[in-house]
Amino acid sequence: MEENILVNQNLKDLKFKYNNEKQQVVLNSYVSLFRNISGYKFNSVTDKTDKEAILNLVADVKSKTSSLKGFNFYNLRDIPRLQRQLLIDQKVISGSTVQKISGKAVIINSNLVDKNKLTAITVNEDEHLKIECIMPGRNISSCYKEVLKIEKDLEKKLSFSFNKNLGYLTSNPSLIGTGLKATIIVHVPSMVISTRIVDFIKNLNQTGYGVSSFFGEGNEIIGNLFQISNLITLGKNEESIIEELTAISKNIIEEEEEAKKELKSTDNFSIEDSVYRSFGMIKYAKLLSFEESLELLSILKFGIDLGIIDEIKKFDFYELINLISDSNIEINYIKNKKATLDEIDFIRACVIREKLLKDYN
Amino acid sequence: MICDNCRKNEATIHLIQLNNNGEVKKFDLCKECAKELAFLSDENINESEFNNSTNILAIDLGFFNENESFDFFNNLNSVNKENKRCQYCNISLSAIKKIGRVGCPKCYDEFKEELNPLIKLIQTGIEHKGKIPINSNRRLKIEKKIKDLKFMLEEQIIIENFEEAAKLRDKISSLQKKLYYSGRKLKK
Ligand SMILES: [Zn+2]
Ligand SMILES: [Zn+2]
Repeated sequence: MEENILVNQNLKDLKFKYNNEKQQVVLNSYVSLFRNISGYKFNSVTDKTDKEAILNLVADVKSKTSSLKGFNFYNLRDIPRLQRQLLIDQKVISGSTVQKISGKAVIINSNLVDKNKLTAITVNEDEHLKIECIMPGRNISSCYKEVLKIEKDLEKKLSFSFNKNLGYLTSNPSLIGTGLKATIIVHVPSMVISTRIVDFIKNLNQTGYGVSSFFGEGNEIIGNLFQISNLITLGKNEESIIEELTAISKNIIEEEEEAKKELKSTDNFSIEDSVYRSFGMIKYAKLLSFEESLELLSILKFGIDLGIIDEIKKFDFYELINLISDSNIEINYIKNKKATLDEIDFIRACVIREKLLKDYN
Repeated sequence: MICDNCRKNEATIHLIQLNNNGEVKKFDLCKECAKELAFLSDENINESEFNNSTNILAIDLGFFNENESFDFFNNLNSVNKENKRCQYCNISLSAIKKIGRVGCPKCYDEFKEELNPLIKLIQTGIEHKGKIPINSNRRLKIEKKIKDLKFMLEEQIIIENFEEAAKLRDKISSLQKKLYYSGRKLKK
C-alpha cells in the first residue's frame, strides 16, 4: 500500500511551472526510446513465460543500476485503477495497456528531487522497453539527454536488438533505426481561429512530422491542443530529430504570436462573443465534462491573452487542464469511493469556478 | 492533400499497400471514402490511436481486405507467400500484415523482400544513421565510421574541396587497415 501512495504523490506533485508567458504555447515535451532485449522475440509474439522472463531480467538490472536507485519498479497489476489512469493521462503507459496489464511493469522515478521531470521505463508494452522522459515546456533536448543517460546505464547490463543497416530493431517497423519518438504538445488557439494551422500542418507532414489532436479522436480538435511528433526514425540521426523538433517548437511559438497579433488588430464580434459565451458557461454551468472544459478554458485563456476579457483571473492553462482530468478529480476530491460521472462533472465545474472567478467564495 | 477517391475532401487517412510482388502503393483518402471503401470499420477509424500518424503502418497493414471491387487488392492471390513463416519466431507474413508488427529481429532478414520497400516508403531510406550500441563490437563501429566518412568524402568531392577530400580518403584507408587486422584477429 505504501508503494502505491508513492506513485500517487509522484504524479500529483508533477506540477508545471512556467516563468515565461510564451511557454504556454508549447505545454509539454516527451521523448521516448524504444528498445528490445536481444535473445528474445518481440512482444508481438511472446507468450506469458517470455514476458515473465523479460520482466525478471529488467527488474534484476534495475536493482543493479545505481542511477535507477530513486526509481520504483511496479507491476502494472499492482497499481490501483486510479493511479493507473493517471499514468495513462500522463502518457506514461498506453491506454490499451489497461485491458491487458499482466506481464507489464513501469519503473518510475519516485524521489521527488526534480518535480519538473518525469522519467519512466515501461516494460513489455508493444516493445520490451520504452524509456521516456516528460518535461513541461519546450524541453525536447533535455528530455533526450535524460533518456540517453538511462539507456546508457541499462546498456551496460543489457544488450539491445540491433542491426547495422536498420539500427535498433522494434516490432513496429515505423520505429526502427533510432527507436526515438519525440513529441511536443502545443496549445494554439490563435492559429486555429485564423486557420493558419492548416498550412502549418501540411508543411510539417511534408518534412516527416505528424500532427494529431491531443485529446480528440480522429479529426476532432479539442481545446486547440495538438501533438507533433517525428514520423521518421530511420535514415536520420537522433540529433537531427531533436534539433528539428526544437526548431518546430520555436517556430510554432512565433506563428501563434503572429496569429494572435493579427487577430488582436481586427475587430471581430464573433471572437468576443465566443469568449464571453465561454465565460457564461463556466460561471453558470453545474456540470462540465472534461472535453467541454478544455474547449472553454482554451477560449478563455485566448480571451485573456488578447485582452478581450478581464472578468476572470489569469490562470495556468496546463496546470488547470491537468487538475480537472477525471482521474485527478477522483484522487484529489473524491476519496475512497467510486464516483459517478455526474459527480465528477459537478466537481470539475466547481474547481474551474474556484480557479477562474474573481468573486468566488 | 486531396483524397484519391473523391478528389474533394482533405485526405486524412494514408494507406500504404504492400502487394505480394513487393510493390508499394500509397493511397490518400478522406475519412468518408476510407469507410465507404470498407478498408476500415468505424471502430478502427475512431480509435484515438489511428489519427496518430506514427501508426500508419500498423493500421495500414492491418486492413488489407480482399475487396474485389477495388483493384488495389487484386494481387492478394499468391497464397504461398502469405503462408511463408519466419524460421526463428514462426510468425507468418499474413500475420505481420494483419498486426503491422514483426515477430523477432530476424524477421527483418526473413521478410526482407517484402518489408524493405515498405520501410523505404515510411522512413528516409533503409540505412541507419543514428548511434550504435556501446557494446556492439568494434568492427561494426569501424565499418559504420568508414561508411560515414565515404559519404562525407563524396560531399567534399562534389563541392570540389579536394584538400579536405584527401584527408578523408587517408582516414578511410587507415580505418580499412584497422578493420582488416581486427578481422584477422577475430579469426585466430
Ligand atoms: Zn474522399
Ligand atoms: Zn521472426
